Amino acid sequence: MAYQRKRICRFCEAGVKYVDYRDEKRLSRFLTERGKIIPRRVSGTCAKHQRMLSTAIKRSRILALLPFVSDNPA
Amino acid sequence: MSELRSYEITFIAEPNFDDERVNSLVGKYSEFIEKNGGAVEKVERMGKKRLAYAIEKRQYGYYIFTEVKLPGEAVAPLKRWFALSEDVFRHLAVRMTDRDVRLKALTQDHFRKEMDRRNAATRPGAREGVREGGREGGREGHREGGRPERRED
Repeated sequence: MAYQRKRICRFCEAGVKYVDYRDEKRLSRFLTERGKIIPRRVSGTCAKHQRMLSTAIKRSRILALLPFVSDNPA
Repeated sequence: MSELRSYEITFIAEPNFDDERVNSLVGKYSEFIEKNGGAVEKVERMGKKRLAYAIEKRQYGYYIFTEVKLPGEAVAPLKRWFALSEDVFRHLAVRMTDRDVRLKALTQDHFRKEMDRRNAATRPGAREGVREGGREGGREGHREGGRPERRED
């Protein structure tokens, strides 16, 4: 997980007000290869959006749009 | 009668369902909602998708997304209905507060505009056109405006 320096929240940058749990492509960028949620100290996401993001990811997992764990990263 | 609340209800049906069986399932679902004093406002068939993990040996599922108004006490019976259903093997009901609804609409609207802008400005033709048109113009502007003296040195 070679991430660069901490930068501004991507959601704030893009003007996102609501993180949709059905948008698995966008959400998957905030997961590690293993399927863990990337902490905000790494991704730079602000607290507000990280909260929305984690809820969305968890809902997405229930719908099998995202993995709970992934042994063979895609 | 109790107050109607907004829900987003997504459920996953057997992947081998054809249109007819999906129709019949959606019909039964709507009927159940209405019988319980609710109303189906939107049905979106997301179609057959690959599951991120196997569910009871299934690799695929037929996704159906709905927006629904429902009295709160009807949610439990609905979930039971899903559980008993042989067609649906996974479901998710999400309560949407007015705030959620508003923010979601706002975000979608924002992205639609964003996409329109990109499609209009950036995307016509292949990437080449984009780079030549958009980026170079920007760079030249900056350099000419900001650092003419250094360049002369």
